[in-house]
Amino acid sequence: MNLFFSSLSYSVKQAYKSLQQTPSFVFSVITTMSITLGALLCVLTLAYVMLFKPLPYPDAEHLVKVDHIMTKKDGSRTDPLFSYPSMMYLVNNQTLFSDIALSSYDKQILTSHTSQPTMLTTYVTPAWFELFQVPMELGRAFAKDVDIKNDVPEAVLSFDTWQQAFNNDENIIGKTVRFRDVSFKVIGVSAQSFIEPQLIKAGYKSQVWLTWDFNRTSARARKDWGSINENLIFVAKLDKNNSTAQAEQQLSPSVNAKWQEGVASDAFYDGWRVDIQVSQLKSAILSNHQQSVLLLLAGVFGLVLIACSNIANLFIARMAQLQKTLAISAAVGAKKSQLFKLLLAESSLLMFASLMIALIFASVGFVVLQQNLAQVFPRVDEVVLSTFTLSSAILFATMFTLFFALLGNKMINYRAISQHLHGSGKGVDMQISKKVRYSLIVSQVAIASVLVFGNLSLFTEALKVINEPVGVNTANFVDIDFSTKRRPTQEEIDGPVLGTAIKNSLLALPQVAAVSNSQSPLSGFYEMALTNVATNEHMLPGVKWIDESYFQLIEQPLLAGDYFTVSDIREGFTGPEGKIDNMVMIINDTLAKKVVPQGASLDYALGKKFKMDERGVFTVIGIVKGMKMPGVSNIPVRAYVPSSVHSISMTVKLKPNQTLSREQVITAVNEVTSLFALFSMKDVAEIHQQLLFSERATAITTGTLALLTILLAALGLYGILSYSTQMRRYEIGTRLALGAKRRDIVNLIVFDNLIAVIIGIIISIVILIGLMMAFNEQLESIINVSLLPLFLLTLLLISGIAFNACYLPLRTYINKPALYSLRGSE
Amino acid sequence: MNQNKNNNIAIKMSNISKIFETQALETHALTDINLTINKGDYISISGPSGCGKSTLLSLLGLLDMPTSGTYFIEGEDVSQLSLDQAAETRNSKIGFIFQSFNLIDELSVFDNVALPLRYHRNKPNVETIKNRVNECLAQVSMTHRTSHKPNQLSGGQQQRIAIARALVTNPAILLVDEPTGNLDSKSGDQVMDVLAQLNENGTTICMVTHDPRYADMAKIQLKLLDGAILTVPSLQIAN
Ligand SMILES: Nc1ncnc2c1ncn2[C@@H]1O[C@H](COP(=O)(O)OP(=O)(O)OP(=O)(O)O)[C@@H](O)[C@H]1O
Ligand SMILES: [Mg+2]
Repeated sequence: MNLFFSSLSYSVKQAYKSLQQTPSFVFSVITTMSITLGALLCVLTLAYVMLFKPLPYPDAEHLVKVDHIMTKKDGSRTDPLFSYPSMMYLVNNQTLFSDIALSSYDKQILTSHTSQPTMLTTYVTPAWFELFQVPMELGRAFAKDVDIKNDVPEAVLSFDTWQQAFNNDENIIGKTVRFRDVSFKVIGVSAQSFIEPQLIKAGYKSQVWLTWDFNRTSARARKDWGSINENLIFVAKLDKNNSTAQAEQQLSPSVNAKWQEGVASDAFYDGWRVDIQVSQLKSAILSNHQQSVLLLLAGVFGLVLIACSNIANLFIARMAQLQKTLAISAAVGAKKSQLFKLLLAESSLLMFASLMIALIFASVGFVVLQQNLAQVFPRVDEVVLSTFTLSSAILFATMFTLFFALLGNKMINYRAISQHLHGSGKGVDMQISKKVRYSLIVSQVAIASVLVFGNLSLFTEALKVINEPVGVNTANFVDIDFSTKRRPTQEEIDGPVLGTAIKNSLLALPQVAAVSNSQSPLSGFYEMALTNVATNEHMLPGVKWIDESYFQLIEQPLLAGDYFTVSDIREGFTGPEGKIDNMVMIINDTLAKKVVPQGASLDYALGKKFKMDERGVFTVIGIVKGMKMPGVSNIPVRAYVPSSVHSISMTVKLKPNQTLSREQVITAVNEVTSLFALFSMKDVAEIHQQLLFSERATAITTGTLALLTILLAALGLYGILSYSTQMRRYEIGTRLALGAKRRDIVNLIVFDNLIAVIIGIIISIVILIGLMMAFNEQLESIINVSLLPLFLLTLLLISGIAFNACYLPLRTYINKPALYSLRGSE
Repeated sequence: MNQNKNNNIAIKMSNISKIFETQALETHALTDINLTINKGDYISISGPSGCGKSTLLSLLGLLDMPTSGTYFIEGEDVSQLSLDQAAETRNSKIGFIFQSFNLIDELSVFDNVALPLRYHRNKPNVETIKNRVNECLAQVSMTHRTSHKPNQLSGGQQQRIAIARALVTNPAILLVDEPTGNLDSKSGDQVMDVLAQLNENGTTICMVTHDPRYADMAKIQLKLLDGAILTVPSLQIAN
């Protein structure tokens, strides 16, 4: 054993010494390997966390998410959302779950705080903290054994909230925080290490948890079986003796029966059915993110392939270089196994160094993931340097070490070595055979073309969506929303219209150019059922409530008819109350085209009447050009109706180069009324960016992968070709001596490698066509004619790299007198 | 510089020096060399190792550029050529024969010999190339085996192919560096016979050799020592 170690340390020392003499080889191998291993470890850890790692909660495998699915008469299903009474019925009438955690996600203003921040508040049932075993920094969690209907208003702050909004106040426990007009007593602060389950969407982080019963579901909705609520989430611990399927079978009938009772009076729900769906919490959180992580994994494996072929090539070249040393070692009696040990030691040293750097790269990658892709990939908070990362790092490094050592060993041509020793003088330089060199070039070109093209197409697709104009002006706009702090007093109800007053107070600010009493164009639309009065046809357009200045302000073009006027704006608080006889509507061209017979002008739609549930009948007075929401490829049907004077959603246009702070808005509003608090304030440009988030993430990842691929392919091709050029230097020197000009030599090398490059390109085309046929459905949206120029660009890029890889190594020989290529080996 | 129009002069070097500059020191490989070679001459250059023989030969062959001095081949000034111009002049005026043959392994014997013609300014047609190559191979008695690869031949045969290649463009001079260095004495003798035969038929030859026996075969024998020529019989004739 001792002997083994001493011989090992001897090999390592030898290897270290020999590597010291080839810094460029060491540099190339370590750069390539550490970049690749770093990317691999990063993505592998992400994939492991998302796909395999148990959730970081006790009994994680028994945690389930319970969903409430309504099936319509026609068999289509709604989104899996609960109605409040169904949820409460299930809580009170089941025996399968040992612990139940309900959450209701909300966003409210912390009115007790001087800067009145808007916070993500989550109402949770008593068992919530127990189920997810929330570690506490200060105080305690909600008491577990109290009734769900407990009406003591208590709050637990998240660690970040405690830090950012309360300056780490050690005496926070017992103080109160007020949301709207309810004061909650702070009973605890969660620890920094708590990883919140991302139940509602990826990257969601609650800022304050509040007592369940204070959730803002209205008294009416708490009894309305037909009203579903997207903010309600049901998580539970399933008894160990039951499977999710059993639970579904057992729960569905009773909930369905009860639900049918609840909606019996509403003919709308005739023929509908409710099912309970129980799924593993882990897979519920993963939901449809699986595909993107698998895609990323595929991209990284492509990188690994390129890197391996690069390094294989570098090792082969090195073996050729080492042949003399090896020949002499062999001559003085070194056995094959001893030479192999030396190779193994060399390759271990290189992989070890790469591994260390790769771990640093991976850690940087983790931070980048957490800061930029938290909304794309769930659970990125759990992506850290873990046992999994380390063991897969060691596994891969060992695999690569062995692979390269074995490859190197295979490349040593022992016959050539002995020939070398006998010095037959016929130039027995141990060259990489032409076949090996060709196949390296072919594989390099093929893989790189496929990867670069794949990434570039996703990249340009994302870029196209990002740069697509929305069709309206969104520059210098701020979207401002208010919410009531408390119930209005009778005086406030009877007094002057606060919506108008707030609008005027904002208009009075020096930075403000104009104010529209409407939500910003990017804040979205509400889906409302419309009925074409003439044809009785139903539609579900996106509807937006706007004032008379909205379209002109955002420069949305009018195609026919007229804009709203001040007299169209409703006076009442809600639709029916301020009922006027002639309610008007403006529709977009997409909707107009549905009404207008083929070939007729859009004007035909003017004067058409639409009924919007109990709000009444609207007459179309104008048609506007449709606008595109960022990140959405089509323009759906839309209708605009006049807002109310009481509306407190404002879109503010700032004067050029001006900014508006929260404080300035709060001060302006407080001068008018104490009823409203600033709920949200966002630059429209910022909303735009947020809507494009996933496209940006795609662009960043695919762009990075494409760049890495190009970099590695360039390194690899350069490696192979510079080596083969070096091997041919005598031939080049001879040809120069015989009168070849520089151009002759460049042509010689380029044409010599052209075939390999062309074969590589053909293989890449075959692979791409194969992929397109295999994934036709998934790729349908991406495949189109614009891909052809992109593919040509890819080919140009790869050929350019290949050409430079041919040319650059030649410069040493062809730009000096011929003698330098002819001289003996140094 | 007095440009000598004498048609009989193949090569004229005046005050040629070559200094190699390496990190630490300057090596004066050649100092103030004056050398004239007439058409039909057979010159041998010998001297101790490191005296500058190969350096002189590479300057003669335009494989490297002198540090100073002037150089004419057949009356044409070649002291200041660009890399590509030098290549063209090498191709048409100079034939090389190397100690290690420097045949290209992937090419057949025929293609090796034809190679200089393919780099020729006015590339001859296929027929002309074929005739010329066969003619040269005949001069070295290697007309059989034209489709072999060089590594299928003996060293002596390879060197004869190399000689045929050097002859193929009808150069003004053959530059030969230790032609027998890698050969046994029998093959060496054969190669030297070929060279003598060629000279007899009018080819100008300048040969570097260690071997006094072979040096004696030349009509003019130059001795180099420390980068300078010791005896230059032809110099008096030229001036
Ligand atoms: N590229 C170079 N850089 C530096 N010094 C050089 C270079 N080439 C040759 N020399 C030096 O120039 C001198 C002449 O070298 P050259 O090769 O001409 O000698 P040689 O007479 O051919 O010797 P040999 O008989 O051993 O072949 C030597 O001292 C050599 O070290
Ligand atoms: Mg020499």
